[in-house]
Amino acid sequence: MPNEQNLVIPGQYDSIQQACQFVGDAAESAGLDSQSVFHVQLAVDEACANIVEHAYEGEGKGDICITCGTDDVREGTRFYVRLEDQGQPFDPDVVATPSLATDADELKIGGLGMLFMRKVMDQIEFSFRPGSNELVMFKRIEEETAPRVWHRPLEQSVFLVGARGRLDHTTVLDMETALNQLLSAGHVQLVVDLSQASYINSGGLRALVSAWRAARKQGGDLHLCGVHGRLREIIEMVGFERVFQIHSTPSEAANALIVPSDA
Amino acid sequence: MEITIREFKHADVVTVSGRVDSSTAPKLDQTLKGLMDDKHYNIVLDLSGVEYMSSAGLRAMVSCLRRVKKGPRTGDLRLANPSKRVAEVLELAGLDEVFTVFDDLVGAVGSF
Repeated sequence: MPNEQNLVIPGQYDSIQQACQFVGDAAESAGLDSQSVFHVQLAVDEACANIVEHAYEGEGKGDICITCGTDDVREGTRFYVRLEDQGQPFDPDVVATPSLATDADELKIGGLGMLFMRKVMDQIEFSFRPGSNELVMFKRIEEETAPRVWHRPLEQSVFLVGARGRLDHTTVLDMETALNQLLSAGHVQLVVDLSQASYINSGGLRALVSAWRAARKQGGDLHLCGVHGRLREIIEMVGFERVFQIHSTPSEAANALIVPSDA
Repeated sequence: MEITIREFKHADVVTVSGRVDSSTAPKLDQTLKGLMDDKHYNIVLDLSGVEYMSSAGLRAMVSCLRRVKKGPRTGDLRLANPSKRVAEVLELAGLDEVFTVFDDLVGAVGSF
């Protein structure tokens, strides 16, 4: 899939938070609302903890490979997370004893993680091959509730503004509002992530340039990332690749802003 | 994750903040076990600063609840101030019915 992102973490409990962060950022960019982002993070947290505990039977025995992206099915667009490990296969249904009980004495707490995964995700699939386990979890993206423009802190003083779909009309206004809010709060190191955008009109281009100018005036800068296909054509047509520094990923852009290359 | 303990006349307040997940829950588990080893069985867990909790945190809470309910001197583990996210996790596990949950710390401490 062209929009897949990938991360490998060591199979240790204190590395799992990194996986949650990675998947949360990807889920947000894909257009999941904040509660769904939380659900995906919870499911990934529980799944990774299960891998360490049951597949590797301890910490430091192997890696967990996390891949996420979106795919289109008849019902709409889904966000998916695939987790792969090289531990021994374990039967999810043995781990999955539901632990619901009303009395503390009867509580069986094992299998809670699996229960969470089943409850918060729309679908989960396990497959076990010799030497490799795979778990794929799906969460539907509700197009109506998904924000089209979002922003969040990226790294150190760098903030990210992301936009999804066609950047015209109201989406451009939303992007302008987000950029202005950040700038007036003194956040002048900005990355605009266009990887989920399919089109940008002249109003959108103007908004980018005026934010870029305002950022530079205040001693900051604005870089772009994820400029692809149709969008790259538009940007190159108006010569903006000479104005903006363009990177492939948000973290690359953040690094460039933190350590400016004057050479 | 940070943990502090304050002793009151009728109950101890354990204040937890940050993330309670598989890497940090053992510390919560040990803290609660330490209290019970010292024969403190009335415990309030102040969750107002907990930004995230996974099943690993619930496991520590349930094992504590089981032990304080058992005695020798019966006590209780009561919860105060769970955030919306933590309340959702409790509900997902069906534990919102098992624990007594208070909206404020004063109410939780005063209930003992």
